[in-house]
Amino acid sequence: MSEQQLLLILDKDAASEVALVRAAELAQRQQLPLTLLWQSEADKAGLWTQQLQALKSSDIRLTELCLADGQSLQKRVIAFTDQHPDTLLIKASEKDHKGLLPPLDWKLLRNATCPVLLVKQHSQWQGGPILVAIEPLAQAPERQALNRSLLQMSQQLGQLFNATVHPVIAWDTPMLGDEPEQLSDEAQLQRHQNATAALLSDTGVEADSILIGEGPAEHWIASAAADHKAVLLLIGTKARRGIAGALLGNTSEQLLDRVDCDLLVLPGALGETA
Amino acid sequence: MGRLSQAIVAPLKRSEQVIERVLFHHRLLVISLFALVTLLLVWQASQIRPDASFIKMIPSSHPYVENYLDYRDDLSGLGNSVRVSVATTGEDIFSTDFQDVLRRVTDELFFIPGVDRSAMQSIWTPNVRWTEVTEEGFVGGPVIPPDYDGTQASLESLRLNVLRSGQVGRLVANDFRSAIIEVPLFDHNPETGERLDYNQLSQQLEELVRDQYQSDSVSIHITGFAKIVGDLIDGARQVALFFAIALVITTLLLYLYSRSIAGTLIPIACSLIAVIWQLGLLNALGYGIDPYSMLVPFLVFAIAVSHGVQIVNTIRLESLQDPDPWLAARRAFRVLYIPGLTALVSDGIGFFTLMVIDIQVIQELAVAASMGVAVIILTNLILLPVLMSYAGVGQKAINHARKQSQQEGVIWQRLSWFATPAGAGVSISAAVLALLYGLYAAQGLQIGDLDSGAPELRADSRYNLDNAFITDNYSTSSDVFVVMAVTPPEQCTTYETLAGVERFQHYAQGIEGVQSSVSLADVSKRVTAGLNEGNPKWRAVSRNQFVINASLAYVPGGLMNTDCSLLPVIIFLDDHKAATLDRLSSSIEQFAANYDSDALRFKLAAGNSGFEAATNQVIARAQYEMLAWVYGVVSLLCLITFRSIRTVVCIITPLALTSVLCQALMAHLGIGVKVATLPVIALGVGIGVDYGIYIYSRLSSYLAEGLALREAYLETLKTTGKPVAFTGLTLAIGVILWVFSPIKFQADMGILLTFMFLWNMLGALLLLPALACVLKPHPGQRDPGLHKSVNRGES
Repeated sequence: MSEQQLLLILDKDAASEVALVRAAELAQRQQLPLTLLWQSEADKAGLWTQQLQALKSSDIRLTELCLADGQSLQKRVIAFTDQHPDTLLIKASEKDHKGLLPPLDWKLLRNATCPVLLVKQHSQWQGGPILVAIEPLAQAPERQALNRSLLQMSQQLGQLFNATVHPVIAWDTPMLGDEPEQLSDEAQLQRHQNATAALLSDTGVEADSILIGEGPAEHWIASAAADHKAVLLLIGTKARRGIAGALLGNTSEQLLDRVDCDLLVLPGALGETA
Repeated sequence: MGRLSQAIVAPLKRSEQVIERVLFHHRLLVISLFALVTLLLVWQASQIRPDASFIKMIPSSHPYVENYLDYRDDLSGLGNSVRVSVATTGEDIFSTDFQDVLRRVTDELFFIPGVDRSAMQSIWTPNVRWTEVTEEGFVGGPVIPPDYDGTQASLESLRLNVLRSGQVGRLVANDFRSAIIEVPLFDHNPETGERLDYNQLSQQLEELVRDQYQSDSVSIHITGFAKIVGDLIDGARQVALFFAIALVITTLLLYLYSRSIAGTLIPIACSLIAVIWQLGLLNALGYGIDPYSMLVPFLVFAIAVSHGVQIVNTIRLESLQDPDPWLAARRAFRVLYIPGLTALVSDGIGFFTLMVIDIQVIQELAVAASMGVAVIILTNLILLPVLMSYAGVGQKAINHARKQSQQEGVIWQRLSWFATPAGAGVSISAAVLALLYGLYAAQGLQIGDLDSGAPELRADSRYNLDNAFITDNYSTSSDVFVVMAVTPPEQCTTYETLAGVERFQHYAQGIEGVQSSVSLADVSKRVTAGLNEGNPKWRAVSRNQFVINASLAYVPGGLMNTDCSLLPVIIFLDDHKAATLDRLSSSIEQFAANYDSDALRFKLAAGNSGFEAATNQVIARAQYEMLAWVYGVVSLLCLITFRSIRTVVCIITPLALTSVLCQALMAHLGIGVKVATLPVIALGVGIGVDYGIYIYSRLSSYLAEGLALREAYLETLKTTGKPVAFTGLTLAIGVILWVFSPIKFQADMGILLTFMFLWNMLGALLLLPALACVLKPHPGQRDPGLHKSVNRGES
């Protein structure tokens, strides 16, 4: 089993600073090696000299890499994760994600085989709350495995940062004409509650309150995150690409612009490993 | 049922998830696509033309029509024709001025494209002749003498010729104060090869004939199918005006109901877009509008509005929970996806089943209506929520909705009584009584025309006045039924043939409703007598073939074909009432069954009454076939959606009651079932099923939450019942104004549609809950232990 790695993507944009801080904190707390991946040589020089010095003088194992001209960031990242399968990819979130073509953040989310942390804000994770979005009623085994991974990771982080963990679940608005048991709001609530409780006891994760609300998912999860002033949101992704990605998109990408907190996205494939 | 049920619902839900995501994440793209398609189809729709054709109105596979089509070329003049009567206010037609006018009118008509020139008949055409028997034998010539010069002497000679020609009562009125020009028409314009443009023909008749020659001393009267169609097409302008009025009324009432500008303008706009798409697609596929399917665009509009109001109403309700327009629209889309889609798909397929009727006009109507409904799926189920997600219903509407949801609503409380056993009993008993009355009254429903003239137009319309003039002053009615006596080639003038035809005529003239008849046998008899000094003893079909040959030396056009294998027997009727035609065709078929042989067969039928008889037969059978298909399809789709036969009964029964009562109403108002009115009842089913599906879906959801039936129904009324009532009333108000239309056809439709809108609404609101109470289709109902009140939609 290989050691867990942290891979931080940096560019000269001032927003990257939050990612740097976050990565440093994680490396510090977990004593993990941190690799900096500069997007270009030009980025290397400049703003971060102070923080970098601090980083280099700390006891974190630091490696610096740089993208060659014309080299694709995604390919580089994939090469890295192939070499070190147990990586956590960290990047500062772009300001917005509009435009006709998928932005870089989305491309990373869709192609990553490892968890991706997109950092948006300065505030500390210490004390939490941490929200973890799960689908307790999902039937497919990969989805169930993903639920477990999400809960376990959220517990780890919760313990690490002494933060409360809240599972957040969105249920879909009932459709008229559906099966009778799907039509009652109360029954839906009850079903989701029971499934979540079962899942929690199954994984041995202790959670504070369970936040269940009416979807669509990106609306409820974002609103719960805002109401509870979450510092971190964990979510899985189906990582739809190509035409499916263009038409249907991914909920994690939708949430990226709707939440103020950091977003930690687990790819669906991860659910297959233990 | 459970696993099957899941197998049906699951793909539907999956499709909804996909569509919902695509729509609400790419709204601008969706709107741009719709805008683009709308522009294209607006351009197409602007090019749509009236497209009426005589052949389209008659059932092309009916044996009568097939027989006609076989011999069509030999039967010129007996298919489609126009009659122009020129009348004088003076003493009689034998005046220089009048004859001059008559000649010029004949010439004008001769040159109108589409006219079968060789078959035209008037005293001024050379094919109309007089004959007389003298000591020297036959004397004869064209009615207008070759040396006619307008002098008093030649007018006298003309008068004599007319009397000798036997055209009095036919081409010359009985009172000698008017003359007719018979103008047979081709189906195609022989110059361009295109289908005859009836609108253009009618205009030409008006401009070239009536406008030019009508004066203080001369009046012109025109009748014939082409003129009816032309007048209807002219009236299309009026029809459009009434649509516009209905549109304005609907918009106003919708605003009063919703208190939301966006919530009014957007559904109306989407509904109009649906109509534009429908017309555009029709034109793109090569169809035109014929006067009998003029109402389809309005029906499309009405159904679209009905769905639009439901969606906007649901958006309003969702807005009470969360005012964000995007969220409310997205949730409303999801909530109404299954009922909306089911209702529209069953409408569409239901209308499409009209294709089983073998009359082209109705088949085209089936295509137009189902295309319209398919388009509504796109404009009102997809475009409308996307547009509303930008606009929202507005704070005023939300406040109004909140206020209303907190009020008790006395009317709804009263109406929810029908969901109790007592109320259900009353409602069902009333329904049963209404059904019995309806079945009884519907027995009086007639097939075909009940009045003379053109029932599509008012009794005091110019056409019907003209028709009355002609019927009053001439002996040959305009109701012509032609029987084709068919023989092997060159055998039509044998004694056996002519005697057989004569026997047939004698038989036919004995049938009630027959005025007179004409055939080659009559010519032979008359001429034979003429060849023998006019002696009445010779007025018979001679057994001597040479005598027959001599008598038929000159044969007037239209009574024999070129290879002597066909003798049309032209029967003039008192009227074209369905009973008359029925009696006639069955009697003739009986005769043919008894007397047909290889040498002589009697085939039906040609002539406008012949076609009408065929049409009536097809309609009588089709009426029930059509209803069976429509109800079958709609029931099946409801069964697939709701997976419960009892539910289907709850939804379909009010519709069936409406259909029966509509038939009773038609019988009461003297509206016959014809090509124009046949589809109305099927269309009514399509309109009404929407209400039932929406109401039942909503009721079902409240029952699933555990409410008792009455409470569940009260909530249903407050949420879904209100838009149903509103839509039913509004559309009825819009349509009732049609009774003022100068086109009787539109006025009749106005009454029938008003009735159907209202009765469907009442059935859905009052009878459906009663049936639900009695049949208990919903599993939740069977457990009386669940009696919780959940208030949804209130903050």
